[in-house]
Amino acid sequence: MTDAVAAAFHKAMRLKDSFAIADSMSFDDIPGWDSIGHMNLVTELESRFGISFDMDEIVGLDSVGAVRAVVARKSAA
Amino acid sequence: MPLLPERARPEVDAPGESLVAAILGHGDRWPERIAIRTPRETISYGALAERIRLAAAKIRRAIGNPGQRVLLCGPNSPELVVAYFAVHAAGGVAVLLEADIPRETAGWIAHDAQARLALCSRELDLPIAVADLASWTSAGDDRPLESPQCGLQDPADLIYTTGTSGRRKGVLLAHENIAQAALNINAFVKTRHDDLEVMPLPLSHSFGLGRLRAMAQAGHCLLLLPGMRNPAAVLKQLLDVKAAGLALVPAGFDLILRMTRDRLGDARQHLRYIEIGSAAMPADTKQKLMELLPQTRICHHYGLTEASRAAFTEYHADRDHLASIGQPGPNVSMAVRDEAGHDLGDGQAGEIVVRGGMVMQEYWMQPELTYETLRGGWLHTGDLGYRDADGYYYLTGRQSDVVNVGGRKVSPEEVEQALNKHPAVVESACVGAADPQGVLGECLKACVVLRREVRDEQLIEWLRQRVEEHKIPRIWQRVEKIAKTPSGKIQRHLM
Repeated sequence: MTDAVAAAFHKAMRLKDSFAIADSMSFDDIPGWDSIGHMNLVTELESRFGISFDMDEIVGLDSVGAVRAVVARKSAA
Repeated sequence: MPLLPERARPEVDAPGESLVAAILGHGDRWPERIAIRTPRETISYGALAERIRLAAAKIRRAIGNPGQRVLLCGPNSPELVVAYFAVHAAGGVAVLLEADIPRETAGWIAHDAQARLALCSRELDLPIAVADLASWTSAGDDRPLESPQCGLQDPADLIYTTGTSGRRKGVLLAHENIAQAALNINAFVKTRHDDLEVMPLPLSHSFGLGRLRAMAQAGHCLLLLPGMRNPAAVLKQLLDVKAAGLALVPAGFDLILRMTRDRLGDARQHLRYIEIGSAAMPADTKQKLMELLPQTRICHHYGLTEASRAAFTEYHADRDHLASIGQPGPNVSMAVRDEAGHDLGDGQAGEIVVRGGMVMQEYWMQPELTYETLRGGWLHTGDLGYRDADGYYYLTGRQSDVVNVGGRKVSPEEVEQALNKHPAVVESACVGAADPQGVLGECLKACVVLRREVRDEQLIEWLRQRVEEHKIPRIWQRVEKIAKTPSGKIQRHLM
């Protein structure tokens, strides 16, 4: 799952392969994490993990660690 | 020019005072009223006025003479609001820079504006005095500057906007221009002093700055958000505080609707007005907003940095003319002219021209461009369109190559210049194209001639070091050659 979350970030933000994703990273740390990148990230996560987010969950997707936690919780449900 | 049919066009007086005088007056009259909120703090008009007066004293000492340009660089924050009005109170001219402006561009603007001082929230290596925005706008022990040192005819703002050749143009606005614009906007939108408005637009952008000026005039409260990075968070704030107002570009609404479905409709009981601008809204998004918000004034402006808002539509009232950019706003005249400068009749296409007290003074240090643009007292917008028999204006195109990416103007040449420096790129051409995701309206498409294969992500990474994120092309195409005229000019319509 770890790789799939990182891959979702890479695809949504159009990052080069060598860019390393860390849990502590937030909006300012990842190039391309703007409003379009955020929408692409949500779409990518929903498609990769077969889950869907409500408004409050999307609001909370503000760091890589937070994304990982929400995805893990919803995937386990 | 034929008289326009009467529509609910409120009469608007000429401004009697500058916006900084107005905001200081609110502080004196209603010191407890809340002026600015952020997710972390609340500032009353009284506290805001005190901080403006203190910062103004400091700025005045630093710049010496009135009329000096002061650069302001930072994300949306109370500090930026204080600094903006403090520069005005000190008799200076505010030059707002995007928070993420590349250092090279900031340096160019500092030089072009002949700025005396820069107040920044991040380290910027500039050839002028640079000071910390936060410390200059927090409480100090200086003697405050009690009265604004500016008159209505004095210059207030120098706003750099994207030019057709990639070079930015400085738009010089006097205090009377921005005060008139604020009066016009408030008259149409019907902002009230007890409104709480959610404002995620950057203050460095003409639209966001216009909302701040409107607040200074109306005396309402702005809830400043750091931007639209997380569109769902903007909607959550709007619902949590039961906001009466919202300002957003069309792409922002599209993102909110995609990510939160119909939750915007939850605001229908308290959201009295929306101001939309900077780009066109797709017809189906307009219909969706009208359906979700049947009681809200949904005001969409047509404007440009040089003339603030020129025309308005209100979706519900103008439901039969939703494809138009509306009718001239309060206190604004518009016409359609041919190349020889003659007025054209209804249905005839030409250049849209605008006149009113909100129109700029000049392009900074560009007298020829100013003369060309302000011919005969009318601002020539460069936008092509026509007026229908009901007095509504319609856009059909524009004269320049500038691309409108989600409400922000991008010069293709600036991106091409950055792209052409990549070692794998022989040459490139950038053009506007429909955003494949349907959010931004237009986006940039890059056609590149390569000397060796390189991935899109590598070119994107290269550009991220050199231009702002919204300028990065979303469509990439490899081509054999760039179509050019015999004189070497790129033929963008063929790309």
